[in-house]
Amino acid sequence: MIEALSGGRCPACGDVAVPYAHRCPACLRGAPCEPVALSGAGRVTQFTVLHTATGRFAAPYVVGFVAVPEGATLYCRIEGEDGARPDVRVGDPVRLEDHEGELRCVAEGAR
Amino acid sequence: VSGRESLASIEGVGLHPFGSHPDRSLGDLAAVAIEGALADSGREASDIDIAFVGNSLGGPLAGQETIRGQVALRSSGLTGLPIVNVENACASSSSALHAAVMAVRSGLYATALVVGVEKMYIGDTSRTLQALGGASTAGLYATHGLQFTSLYAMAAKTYLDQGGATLEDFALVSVKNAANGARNDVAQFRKERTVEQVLASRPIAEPLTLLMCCGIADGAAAAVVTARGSHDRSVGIIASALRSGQYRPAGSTVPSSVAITADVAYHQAGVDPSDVGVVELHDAAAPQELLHLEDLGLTGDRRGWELIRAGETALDGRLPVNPSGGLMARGHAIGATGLAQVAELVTQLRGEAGERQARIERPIGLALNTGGRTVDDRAAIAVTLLAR
Repeated sequence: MIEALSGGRCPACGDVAVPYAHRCPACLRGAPCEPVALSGAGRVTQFTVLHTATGRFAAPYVVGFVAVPEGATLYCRIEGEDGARPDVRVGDPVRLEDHEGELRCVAEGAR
Repeated sequence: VSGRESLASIEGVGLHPFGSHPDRSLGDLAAVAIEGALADSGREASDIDIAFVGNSLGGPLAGQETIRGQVALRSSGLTGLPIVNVENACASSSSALHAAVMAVRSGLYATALVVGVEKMYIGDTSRTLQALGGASTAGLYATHGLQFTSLYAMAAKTYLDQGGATLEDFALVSVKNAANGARNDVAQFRKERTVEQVLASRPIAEPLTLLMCCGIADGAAAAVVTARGSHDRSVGIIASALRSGQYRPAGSTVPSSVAITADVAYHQAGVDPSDVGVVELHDAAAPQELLHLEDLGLTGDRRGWELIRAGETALDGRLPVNPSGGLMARGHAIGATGLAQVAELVTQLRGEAGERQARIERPIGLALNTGGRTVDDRAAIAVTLLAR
């Protein structure tokens, strides 16, 4: 399980923080939090297209915020099914997966 | 300082021009700013009891890790005294100023030197972006290619979706800050721009164009800080608020970390937002200026665009904002930016800004400097209030 795909449920207030924190950052009362594996489901809440390449990613590429049903929102680079640049819209479903120890966020349902 | 009690005083400030200075080391840049601050304060180098040096990227980009202050200040002849290295992403030098205020306020040191210095031009944008990625939680850059402009772009899209503001309003911010920068001899970009030029420049992070975003810069800023100013050009620090970004549970209605930090500052000083007469804020991208004005309580929610459209944030407006040209025109040499903002406010409050002197109706200045990104929020937020 990679860190970005695991959260912690607070024994005091029930909040789930992602990634895992030993003591609950929401209420500061609960510790230790109980590890929770994310389902891998998510939805795009915001996104943009970046036009400057980094060492690893050619431009343009898509990044955004993805809300997971467990309650957190994660910053992710969003890929198409075949690694291509996806045609993303707000509300689109994504799949979060462990790809060789690294979090990958794939847009589902290519248009 | 108008009867209001100050936490500390700034006796003098100095700057090294922001821009591309490939032949200058961190020490060379710092030396110019330090000489300026000493001359401005009427102090000798031997008067300095402690120094706080803000820098962020000296490790990856200038090849100097962990003792950058000691290495840089040797060029100014400063050895032996306590030198504290302060690193807090783009808020490094406002964090250093915060530490200096604590040092002189505690009574342990009489005279503190604060320095912010940064070198970002290395002729390889990809490496600079990688170093900037280091200002976020590890993995956000490596795995996801985080660029700070993407955060500003997404905030801008949300702001546009709320209605009222348009892309042209963002361009107006760029135009105003370019006009101010054109009048500032330490600014990196000294060219006036038009709305059409801003909108037509190349896309960086949709919907932001190149001229809506700050660039990278080399530069330095310095200030001499004491508990009580020794001369009548001293400017009081009436609040120094520093916070970190925070975790927000899903559905949280906790205000933004900028709003929380500003409230701490207003409370420290015992002033209201309506008392602020001049502002230097963190316009890393044009829409941030509008969002920050709202978070700082300087206008109503979703009303920031009205100020820029009505010219109220221009040099001759009701509330001049970024008279230096801001991050976009003065430049953003990240570890130097916070102190450069404060230096500009000192100059403005003294009425010494020459061609870019703002019309200041209320003699209180506010600096907002933010830095870095965690998985939850901005990493560091500093709000400093100055009074003359």
